[in-house]
Amino acid sequence: MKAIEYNVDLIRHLVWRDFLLRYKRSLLGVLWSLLLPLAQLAVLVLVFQKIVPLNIEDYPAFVFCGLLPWMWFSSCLGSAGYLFTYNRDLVRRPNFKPPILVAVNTLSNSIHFLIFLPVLFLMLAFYGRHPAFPLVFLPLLFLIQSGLIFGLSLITATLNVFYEDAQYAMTVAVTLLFYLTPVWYPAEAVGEKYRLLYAVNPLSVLVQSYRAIFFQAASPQWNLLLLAAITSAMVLCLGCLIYRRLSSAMHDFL
Amino acid sequence: MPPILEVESVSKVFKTLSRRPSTLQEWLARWWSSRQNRKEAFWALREVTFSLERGRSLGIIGHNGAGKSTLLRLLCGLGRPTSGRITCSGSVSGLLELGSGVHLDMTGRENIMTAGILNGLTKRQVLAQLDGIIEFSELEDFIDHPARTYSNGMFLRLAFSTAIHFDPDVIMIDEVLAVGDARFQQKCIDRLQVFRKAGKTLVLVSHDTEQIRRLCDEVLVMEEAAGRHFGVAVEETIREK
Repeated sequence: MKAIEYNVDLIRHLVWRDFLLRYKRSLLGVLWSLLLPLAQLAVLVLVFQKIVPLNIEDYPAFVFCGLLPWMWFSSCLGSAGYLFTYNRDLVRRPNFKPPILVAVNTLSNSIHFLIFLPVLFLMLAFYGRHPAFPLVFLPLLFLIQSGLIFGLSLITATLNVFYEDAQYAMTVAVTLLFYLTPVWYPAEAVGEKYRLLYAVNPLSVLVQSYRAIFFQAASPQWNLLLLAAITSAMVLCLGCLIYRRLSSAMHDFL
Repeated sequence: MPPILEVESVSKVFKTLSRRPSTLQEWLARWWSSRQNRKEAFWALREVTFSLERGRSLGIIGHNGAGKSTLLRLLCGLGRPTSGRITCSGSVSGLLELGSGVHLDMTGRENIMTAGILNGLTKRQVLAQLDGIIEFSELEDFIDHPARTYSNGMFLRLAFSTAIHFDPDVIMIDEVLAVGDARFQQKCIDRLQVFRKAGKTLVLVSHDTEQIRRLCDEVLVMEEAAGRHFGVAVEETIREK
């Protein structure tokens, strides 16, 4: 009982601390984190519905389904590299397990996803798309994506202690991935030749799956999702391996 | 009863930290000439061995660079020794470099909460202690200001009163007491005496032999990365040195 209370307090405190530090010196504070997804949604809708129309039905809702998981992913990995170096005060304490910071970062960025879920449902309802049975798979998608984000973040955070190139490389990768992930276009539009590229990219499969359950009221493509789950699990294991290997050297560098 | 702290021939080697290649170009150059340019190792600790019974307190003295701080950090579980073994049975609280456990953008109060929770307390338990901590630190007027505005002395007050109030089994202090003014130092020493009387264990690194005399039962003299003397007779060991 005590252990549960303690761990809840620990995670809650660290998530709260993360929020506090992020917006401590700004006027709008947490509002910024709400503004960003909406601004990005507005621009994508403007560009791909009005300026260069992709002619996708109910485009705002279509984009938002992909944008929410994408923003969770990109905001986590955009900051992952500095998790250990900026939080030296925590990492250099006896008994502190640094991977907790990675877990907290993964969680605290998922809050935006959760906050915007009602907005998404309103939007879907506006277009006459009502929640259907496949929504029960949402926790599963969350779980797979958490694993993927946690693994990649742990790798980035650990390597970044030694060489900051890790975060730079990750930032480049995330920027490019935005175009290579079917966030603002349908995966079906991808040519036959490039299908494989999208099948092996777990993030792209996840975005498609979210869209399936929210937008199309359909089940995810199980074979692709299984592959994505396996890839995510492997990334997670790799992250843990790298961390275990380097964690003691890490303290010498921090 | 087994000793609370056991250190068995612990060594720590830093591999050319300062000579780490900082750019790709340098790295390539290093790799090219790697055969002539053998890696240098810096031995921060060499075969240090001692053990400490529960309730005893240990003073560590030695010149700058003798390995005292490295030893203390390993004792706190920060990093692993290159060889040897450290076993510690009990909760540890450490006062290492000043401000190492403090986030500068957070207020004193928020930092106390972080410290408490990371020391294994629940939020409720920390809140119960909060007033006592602030009172001991005498930082009432500054506790809601960001730590960035604190002086070294204030860091010490915050860190010391936080560490001692969470009631660890072992407390490790690295020289930091010297930063406080005479009155606060005395207050810390009095508090540490109470802590010792409660059967807790203290490990203190200090250049102030007077402090060691008053607070420690045993003393370890570090010389060139090795523990040279380990004596129960504090007086004699200090004089010998």
